[in-house]
Amino acid sequence: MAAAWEAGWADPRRLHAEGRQARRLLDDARAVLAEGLGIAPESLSFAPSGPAALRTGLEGLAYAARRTGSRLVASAVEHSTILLAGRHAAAAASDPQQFGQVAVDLQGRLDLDRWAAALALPGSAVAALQSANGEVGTRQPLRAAHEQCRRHGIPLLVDATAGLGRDATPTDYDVLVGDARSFAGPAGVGLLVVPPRTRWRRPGPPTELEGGRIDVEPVLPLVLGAAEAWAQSAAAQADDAATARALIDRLRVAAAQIIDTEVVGDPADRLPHVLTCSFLLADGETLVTELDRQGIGVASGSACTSSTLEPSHVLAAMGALTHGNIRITLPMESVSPHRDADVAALIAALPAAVAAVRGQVAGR
Amino acid sequence: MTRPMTPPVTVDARGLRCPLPVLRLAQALAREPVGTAVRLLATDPAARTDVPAFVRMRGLTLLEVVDVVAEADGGEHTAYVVCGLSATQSEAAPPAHPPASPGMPPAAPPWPLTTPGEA
Repeated sequence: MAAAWEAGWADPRRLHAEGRQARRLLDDARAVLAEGLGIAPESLSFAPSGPAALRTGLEGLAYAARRTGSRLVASAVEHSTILLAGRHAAAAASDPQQFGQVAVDLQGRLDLDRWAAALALPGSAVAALQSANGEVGTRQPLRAAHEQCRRHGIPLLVDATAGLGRDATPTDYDVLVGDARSFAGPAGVGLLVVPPRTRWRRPGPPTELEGGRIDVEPVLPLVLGAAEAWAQSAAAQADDAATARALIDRLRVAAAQIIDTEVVGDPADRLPHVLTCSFLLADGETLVTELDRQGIGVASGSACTSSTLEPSHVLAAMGALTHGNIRITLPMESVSPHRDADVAALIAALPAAVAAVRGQVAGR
Repeated sequence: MTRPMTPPVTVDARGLRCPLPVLRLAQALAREPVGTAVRLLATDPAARTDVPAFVRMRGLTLLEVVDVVAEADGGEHTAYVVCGLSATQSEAAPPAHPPASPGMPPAAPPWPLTTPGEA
């Protein structure tokens, strides 16, 4: 990253030597990422973040389809950026029908029959679906979902922010969104892919930046860092994913051996590096703190760990146990060379930590 | 699902946060004779997901979920009536909830969830 700041400080729109070099670097970075995603460089725009790319991607699809209607169809386990956009639009129109939230099963997988029914409702104009859920790992049936969208003439935005660079790059989409953080790139680089075949139009004043899609200049050093991260991880991706998958499998087995435990998400058709599980009658906050004390960093979707005191919307939509929840996201080996030792430490620490927290809870 | 003949034991977990409402429910079920229906009163939003999940994991039966909008004492809360497996076995109910597996009934109940005939 330091080298990227050194090389990429100049304004790529200027004609002086540093400006020309900056333009070349930006073009190169775009070419590297576009090639990795299997698209033309002109289809790729850099956004200030993954969520910003989601929002912009959605807005452009909705604006281009505004004569068809304004209803958004999305799964109930989408990124909050999508759900908030849908709820906001429905509230602004005083019409709950403006947002169709489609249920998922206990594994977190989209219900395709309900998806089809939601798309068929009059006024449906745009659909959004994640490639896989970042919290529980379950992959979504993109091909079938996209096929149904095509049948209804509705464009599909695919949110790949959870797994881009860690899992196969989606091919079934009309707009694709990623976040450089998923492949160990820096925060602050969202990827917005709009192929020429897609009807997408930016609402509001036009911009000359990023193919006319984004009105914020990309931060060149961050983009260079993202391209470098992609280049480094792409070569190792398949191996890294296989190793991560095996480690998560071990963790799943170990967690399931603890009594009254729900290991959440699809055991096989999932992201390679994500695991969520809930321990009945344990307290997520105390468990996270207990593991942190032992030097193991995990997240939680339990209500007690959120500022709103609401449990994770993903776990709630699945009907999974939300309390006593921990979430593990394995970094890539290039970032965290000791990750198998870390997983072994977690496997060793988990039974006693859960028992201790349960004992504490039972005394309340 | 037939309602139990005897009025259920009531556990008041209003104002408590996860996992305490489910803990109180589990403690009451353990304390009472097998098959006793227990009514849990809770205000914690997580209970809406966690009570059905607990019932599924333990192979119990969720007889009823009622949103109580306003009441003379206590205000807004949700009442869940849960009982052990044996209460339904005698009614020749279909085998209750299998452990977590695909093909479960729709995971997320439509919110708010009410039982017909209740306030």
